Amino acid sequence: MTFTAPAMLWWLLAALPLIALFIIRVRPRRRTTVAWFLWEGVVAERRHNALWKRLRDLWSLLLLLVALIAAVLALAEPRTDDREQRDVLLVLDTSLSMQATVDGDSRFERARDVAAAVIDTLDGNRRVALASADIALHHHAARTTDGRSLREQLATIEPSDTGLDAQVARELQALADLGDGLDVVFISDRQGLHVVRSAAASPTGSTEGSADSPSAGENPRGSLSVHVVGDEREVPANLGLVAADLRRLDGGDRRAGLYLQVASSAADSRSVEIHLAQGRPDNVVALHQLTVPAQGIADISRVIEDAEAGLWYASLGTSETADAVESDQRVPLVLRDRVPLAVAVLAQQPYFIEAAARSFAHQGGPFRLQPDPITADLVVAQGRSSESRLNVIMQPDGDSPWWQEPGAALERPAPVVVLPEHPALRHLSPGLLGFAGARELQAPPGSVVLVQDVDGTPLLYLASVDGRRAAVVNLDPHADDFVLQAAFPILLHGLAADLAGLQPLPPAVTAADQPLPVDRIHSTVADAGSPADAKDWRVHGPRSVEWSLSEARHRPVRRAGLYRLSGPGGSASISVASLDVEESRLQGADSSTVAPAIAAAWMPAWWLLVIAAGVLLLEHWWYHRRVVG
Amino acid sequence: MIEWAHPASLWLLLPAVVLWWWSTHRSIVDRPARSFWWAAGLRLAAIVCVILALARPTLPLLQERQHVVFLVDVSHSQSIDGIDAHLAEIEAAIDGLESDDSWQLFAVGSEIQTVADPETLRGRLRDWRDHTGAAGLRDASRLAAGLARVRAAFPGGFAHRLIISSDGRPTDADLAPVLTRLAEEGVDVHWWRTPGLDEAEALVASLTPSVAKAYDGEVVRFTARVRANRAMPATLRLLHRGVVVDRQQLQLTAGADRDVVFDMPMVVAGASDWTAELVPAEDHFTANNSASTTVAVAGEPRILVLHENPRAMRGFARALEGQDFAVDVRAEHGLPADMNGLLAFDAVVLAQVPATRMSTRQMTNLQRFVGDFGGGLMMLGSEESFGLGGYYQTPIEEALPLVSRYEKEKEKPSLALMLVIDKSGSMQGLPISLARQAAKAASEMLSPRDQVAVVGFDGSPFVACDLTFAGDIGSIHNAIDRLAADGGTNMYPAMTLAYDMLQRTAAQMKHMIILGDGQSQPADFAGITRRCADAGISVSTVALGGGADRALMETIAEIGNGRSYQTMDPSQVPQIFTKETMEASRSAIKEDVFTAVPVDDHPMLAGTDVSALPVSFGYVMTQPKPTAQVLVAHDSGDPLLAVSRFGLGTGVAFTADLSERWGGDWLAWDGMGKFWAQVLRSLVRKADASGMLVDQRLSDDRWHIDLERRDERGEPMTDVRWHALLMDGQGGQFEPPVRTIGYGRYELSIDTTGIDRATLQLRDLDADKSTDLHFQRPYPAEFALAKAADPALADLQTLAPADLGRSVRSVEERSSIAHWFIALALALLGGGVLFRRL
Repeated sequence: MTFTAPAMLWWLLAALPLIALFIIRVRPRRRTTVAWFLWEGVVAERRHNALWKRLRDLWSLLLLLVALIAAVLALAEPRTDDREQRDVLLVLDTSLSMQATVDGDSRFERARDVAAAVIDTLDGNRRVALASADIALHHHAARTTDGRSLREQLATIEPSDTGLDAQVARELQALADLGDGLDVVFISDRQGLHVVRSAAASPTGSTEGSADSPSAGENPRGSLSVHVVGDEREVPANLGLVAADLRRLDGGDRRAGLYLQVASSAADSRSVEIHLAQGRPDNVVALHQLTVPAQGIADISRVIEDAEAGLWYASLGTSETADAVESDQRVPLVLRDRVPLAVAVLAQQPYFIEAAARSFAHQGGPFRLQPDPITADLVVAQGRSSESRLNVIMQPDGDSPWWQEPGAALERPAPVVVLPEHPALRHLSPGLLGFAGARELQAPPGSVVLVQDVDGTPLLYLASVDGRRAAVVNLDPHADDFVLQAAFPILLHGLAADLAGLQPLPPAVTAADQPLPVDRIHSTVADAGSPADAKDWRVHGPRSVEWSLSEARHRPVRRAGLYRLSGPGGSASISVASLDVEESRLQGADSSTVAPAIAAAWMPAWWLLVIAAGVLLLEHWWYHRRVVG
Repeated sequence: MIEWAHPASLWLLLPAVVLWWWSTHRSIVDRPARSFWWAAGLRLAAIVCVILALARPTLPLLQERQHVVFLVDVSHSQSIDGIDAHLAEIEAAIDGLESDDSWQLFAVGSEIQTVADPETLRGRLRDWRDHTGAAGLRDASRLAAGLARVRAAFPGGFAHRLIISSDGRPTDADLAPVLTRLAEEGVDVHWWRTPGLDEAEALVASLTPSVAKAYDGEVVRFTARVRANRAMPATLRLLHRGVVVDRQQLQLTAGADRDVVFDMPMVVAGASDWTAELVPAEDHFTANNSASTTVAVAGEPRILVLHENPRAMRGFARALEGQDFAVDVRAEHGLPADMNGLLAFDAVVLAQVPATRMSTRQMTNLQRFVGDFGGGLMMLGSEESFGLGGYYQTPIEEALPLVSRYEKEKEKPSLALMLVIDKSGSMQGLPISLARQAAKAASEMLSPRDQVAVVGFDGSPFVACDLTFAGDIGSIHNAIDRLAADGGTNMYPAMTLAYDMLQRTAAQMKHMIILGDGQSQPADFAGITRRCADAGISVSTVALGGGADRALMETIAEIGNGRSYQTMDPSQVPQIFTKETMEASRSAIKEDVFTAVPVDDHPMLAGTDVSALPVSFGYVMTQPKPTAQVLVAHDSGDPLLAVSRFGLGTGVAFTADLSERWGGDWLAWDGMGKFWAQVLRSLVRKADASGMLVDQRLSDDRWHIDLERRDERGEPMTDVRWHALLMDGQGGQFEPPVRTIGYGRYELSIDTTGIDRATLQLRDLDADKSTDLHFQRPYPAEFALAKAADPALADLQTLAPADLGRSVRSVEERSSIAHWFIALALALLGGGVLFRRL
């Protein structure tokens, strides 16, 4: 046994005056009596019992000495552990699997109890710091002996809806390796133990503390131990949604593709009902049955006809037995329509060209017509050059960076398709186009020629100059009534789509371990304005979360739920769900060895004080049970 | 105000007071009332104090002390002198701290390390300056990770202050998130900016093509971003597959990025590697002088033809080029060394190149090129093809439809083959194991009428296998297994013994193969070899490794009318032995006029009048594998043209040749171009990636790939069965899982730790579509010398080193006062006893 404050043992000298006080003979009270003979018997009896009286004083002294020694030892703060007192970083696993609840208590609550028990054992010298870990390591309390503040901080920690990141596990090991007098105790479940072990086995995990590290020599390394809670005898049954998607399908008719993936930790195959609701969680519009194999994964893909854009909910119906984790039961999904490409037409006779563009300008379509070419995303020009960022130019004429050496009209062009597989020519047979009105010219260097005349004159090519792009169609769209043919709008659509590189829409749901895709979603809001206006936009989320766009860009969300991006130009919903296979597919107890349990007993000093108080009371009673004086 | 850490303990007061009152009330002590109650009262007070101590009382106190963490950036972007100078400032700042303050010092680079004091760090700087210290720590500036980690270092009861001594250019992540988190945790962060590297430095920051996928003939613009920290002239070169194709003279400006543009036509289809290389007038680091990128070029099918004499394939190449093939005819060492190089081609034709000219890895890569990446492989007949070329039991033979094994004809002369193998100690391990394998393979190639013997030698000769007919293959193999490496090297007695043994046999041909990897004791080697030659015994030699006596081996082979081989790679020994055996037995080639006979139909013969195929004047004897389809045979019955699938690709064997020697009629045939174009079109890799949209990014050493699969109508495809195969530059491969994440959406995440370059093949198993992605690790970001410091650092408040000890924020700390209560209890206890006794 060692003492944290051995100097306090000097208080043992207080036993000397105490003993001295007992050496002093207590003088009886002097009373006047008129009948001595009555006292003779009493005096004789007292003489006869003098030994007993002295023994009773001795007992009293011994009890008081016991109380004194116990109190002094408590002052000196004895420890049964002879090793050097190292600080402890208590790290609570706050990943999704810690929400697993069996028999009323969640794994997280049990972990918090373990941490509280450790804090209760603080002896005034050993410092404890507090952190939580999921997608990142969050420090809640610096190293301190102040149990109260630690408990206050402990109460603020809540489980998140993300998984435990392997990088965080490596970070814990690195903290222990830092040689900073810190032992790291990770209070987690089997999932967490697995991640820590995997991280330790990975190549990056082993690079920490290389031969170049002074921590190996200058300072002793700490230890990382994992205290596993959730020692259920069986794997808790949990079915959770681990992947989800709802996306608009091309081709009009407001069709949408739904994809859902369910993982199960149940020991047997489970049949689950999937509810699809529109607008609000209780407005169920479709039910799907899915059988999930034991401790496996199953998925479904469906096409939803006439699906309205907006908020949808996918949730798992009541399963056969209680489900261990509730957070992965329901996923909000945001079905988005594409923000159409603003197309402007610059032509002497724009009507038919606009009509072709308008055929793709229906609700949910890829285009919308815009009169102003300056603010348009793409300009369709005829008989003139256009130098917007994206251009489709027909019937090239005049000087332009998009062509060189324009010459005479071609008599009868014979188109040869150079790149039949090019995506811009999808759904089209360009070899069948007449290219009436084509003229001799040369494409600028670096152009991709898709169709050329048999003599090599480019008829359809893509060019890029100073970061601007153009598709040049070497024909007169009004010749041979090409603008009235079905191929014309298809050609226009194919070229515009290729030039604009229509970006995929943001996902219907974002995993909680990722930052919100605020920039992509901001760009889908029709009147969002330029990125420069983004500073006025805010993100509001569950539990009164409010972030600026720049904050939201790099901050993993951690909490599932619905978030809202709003600003001067409008607003958009963002759905967040846990979507983590490893966390939803819970692991149960196994027989593998884990780190020894951390000490959670009351400290010796506390018991010594209890003894001191008890003995003082006992001696008090003992003293008053006799006649003194 | 007192706060209680364990307030539940206060409940003990209740029973304690009750017990005290009960004892006191029923007391029979006869003491003066005043003493009695003083004693009892003081006892009660002592007990209460002890119980209050049990509840661990704390008192919040305002502390004006600080704990300062110094985080010193020691990465390469810092000059050692600069760090040294900053350490002096840190020492001065430490001296200025109050006695209550505390501090810690950390060094941050590729990792974060505690340092006892500035002097210790100075010692390490000296090591780095003298190049005696391991510099791994300096290879990165992981400032974000360092800041995240030091948060655990701060103690409670102190104001937390963090000083970052750095040039502020992290290589791991933006600092804004971690600085926000530190601010939220109440850490006062300041940046003491260091000047950074003061050596002359120039680098290529990036090389970016205008498109990732180009078409044949398209001019792709490569933008190389170069920068330097001082004005200097430099030359920027653009290399395509290691060859300089363009260069520009530049005048670099200090501290300014410069974008240099190269417009290059894509004339070579396939994966095309480009590198920008900077040659500056002054430089400090060389690691950052180049940057590479890969452009996938779609275009004409590319065929690689390998022939010892490339001129002999001119006719074949011309015929194919007339059929819109891009043909690259190379000499025998022209096979690309890595998979990326192979994937630049759609098919490989081994016209006349022996297996001994390829490394084992090259052969394995070629096999994977066919089996895993769907490439085509064709072997033409020649003296260096099939078994004659040493391909027996090689990875390449596995991908071909024909095997070198054959039944030797009876009229061929019998052969006695003597294998004289060095089994000295230096052959320990892989060499002796491969030598045994080579001896077995050689014995398998002989006809039952042939004989084989194996003599090992170290300090003395050892007959592992006496002359035995090759039909008794089991005994021969068992005998060969007895060869174990041990002892010195004395070749002469073994040659003498082998000579004597061959003298005793009646075989019509006698051949000796000697394998040695060291210097033999001096002897009359020329004499014994001459005696062999006089006795009709030919002698070939194999010098293995750099320690072999190459001159002696060459001399022996020359005198012995044999061939001499030199190789550094023990794995080539089996190929050399089988090739030698085939050549010695002179049995694999048939030369005459042979007419082509159609045997089977196949799409590659569509449109060809097979009955009108030209005649051949010779061929290599082979036999088809069970899975092979022989399309055309010689009138002698041996295969002429055969095809078989191997994995995803196709192997074709043509046992005659397409040079003047055996294929004169083929070259003169006017249908040659069309015929071979048809054959090769069915052979080439069909990397149809349409409908596969790939988005890839690299972060935290992970290669993230988002996949989207669409059908011909552009509709997302669900339930796609993917197969992903990753091959790294070292020949290692594994199959990363592809996860479905949405409707037609899939993802992969690959840990690239330890991988410098890799090729990933993604294949839709149902639709037979695939795409190849390429990964090249850039040089460490530490050498990129980012121009600007992280803007989040610039937003921090300034704090001069001299002011570090001032303006310390008050921090409330709860201190335990339980010991005061215990001490008070002891005093009260004494007081109570005093009142009892006096």
